[in-house]
Amino acid sequence: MDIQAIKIDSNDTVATCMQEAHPGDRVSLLLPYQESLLCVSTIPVWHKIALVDIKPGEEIFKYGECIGTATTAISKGGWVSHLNLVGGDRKYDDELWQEAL
Amino acid sequence: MQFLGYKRSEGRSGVRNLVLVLPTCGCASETARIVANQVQGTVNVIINTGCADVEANTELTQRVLTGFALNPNVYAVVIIGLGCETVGHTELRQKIQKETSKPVVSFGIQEEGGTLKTAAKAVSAARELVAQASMQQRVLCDVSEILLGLECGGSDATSGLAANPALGLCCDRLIDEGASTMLSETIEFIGAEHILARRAINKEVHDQIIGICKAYEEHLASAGQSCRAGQPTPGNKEGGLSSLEEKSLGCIKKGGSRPIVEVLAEAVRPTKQGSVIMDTPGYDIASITSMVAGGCQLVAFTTGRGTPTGIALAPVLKITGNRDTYQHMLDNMDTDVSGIIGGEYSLEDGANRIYDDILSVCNGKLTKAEAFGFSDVCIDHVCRFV
Repeated sequence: MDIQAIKIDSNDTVATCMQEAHPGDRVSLLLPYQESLLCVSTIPVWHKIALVDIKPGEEIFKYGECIGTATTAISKGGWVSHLNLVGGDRKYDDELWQEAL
Repeated sequence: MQFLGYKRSEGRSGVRNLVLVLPTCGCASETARIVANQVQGTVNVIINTGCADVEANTELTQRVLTGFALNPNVYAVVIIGLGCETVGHTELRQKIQKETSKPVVSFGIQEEGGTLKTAAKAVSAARELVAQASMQQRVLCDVSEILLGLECGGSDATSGLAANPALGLCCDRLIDEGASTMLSETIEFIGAEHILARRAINKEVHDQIIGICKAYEEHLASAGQSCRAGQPTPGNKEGGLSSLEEKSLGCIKKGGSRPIVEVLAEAVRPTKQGSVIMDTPGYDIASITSMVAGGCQLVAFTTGRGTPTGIALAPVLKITGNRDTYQHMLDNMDTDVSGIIGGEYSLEDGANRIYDDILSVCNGKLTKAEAFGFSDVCIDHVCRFV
């Protein structure tokens, strides 16, 4: 089956599936992205598919921003969820106003 | 843009014209409900605080109670007190009367000798006030009088893709026309606070945005808790949001892109026009309570999974970008922007749909939550009761 997914930013390593996807489904990214990939997990609707192979501890990007790090290895085409992605601590003091901003 | 609203003797105009039956504390809430049940045109709220509180809780409760009374949607107030609470009905009435010339009357249950004697007097007063209120006419008001609260709840992955960015674009349009918007839910900035802070109008506001996030985490840590234990919620996770960062990055999109001019404590009224932030919790009902106490005449509420929440003082417009949710929860959903993800129309078209619905609601169209008479209120708490 052909499934559509939304990649938001060119730096993103995940995309959001618009339908439930199953292993063997072809997942195509909505325009302007033209790539497609093979799904290797069962992914619920509106959940994330990995666009690249992700190593444990590697940062995961959506909206062009880091949304956390992988707790396990995730294959390209695999399901990314709260079960294998964990958020990080903030460094508030480093985020304060800097004149150079 | 102009809307048909109710002019008040001071401050912004109302989009509703209500007589509020306001209890001073939890113990007076049920008597207040009985009073409001007798008089068409009144609304009541159930208050969970007002007694046996530490000072910081009392201060917040007082800001919410006075803020509710001062909300532009309220024509007049009937206060119901008990008699032994922290701030009694006379003191609360005087505090409110210092800030407004709108009619305010008050009664005490212990003074009057019970619920029925109190209700007899309060119903009589409320009946007179709704008759006065009914003489008010809607007149043309400028959009600059609007203070729109922004809320999201029951978020899923569609929230950050459709409903929130569309609401954000709508906010930009409203602000460009002179209106003000209030972004809330500090917990749901965490992970995206650095992006939000870039919108600050100056250094002070920039560091306040970072500061409220840091303070929120420290506050929870002092109680031995992590904000990441409850966020994202189980429903968010099921809806495809896996971390607080991912949720927050979607949440902040509903605030649009205009400069943030002020950061407010809970239930405090803005002093500036434009895009403001209020430091509220991620619990929708508590956040809406504080924003309405801060003077918002209506709330735009985006949702992915659907939620019924409404507050009696102000319309809460439910907006979803999830087609299944819109159809499945039609009883509770007002605005459908699912065509954005479906590719049927653009983000701008979605923003215009929200704008049109906000205008209709300002002009008097009832939201689903209003038609049901929902009256959700929760006053946030910084410490246990004593």
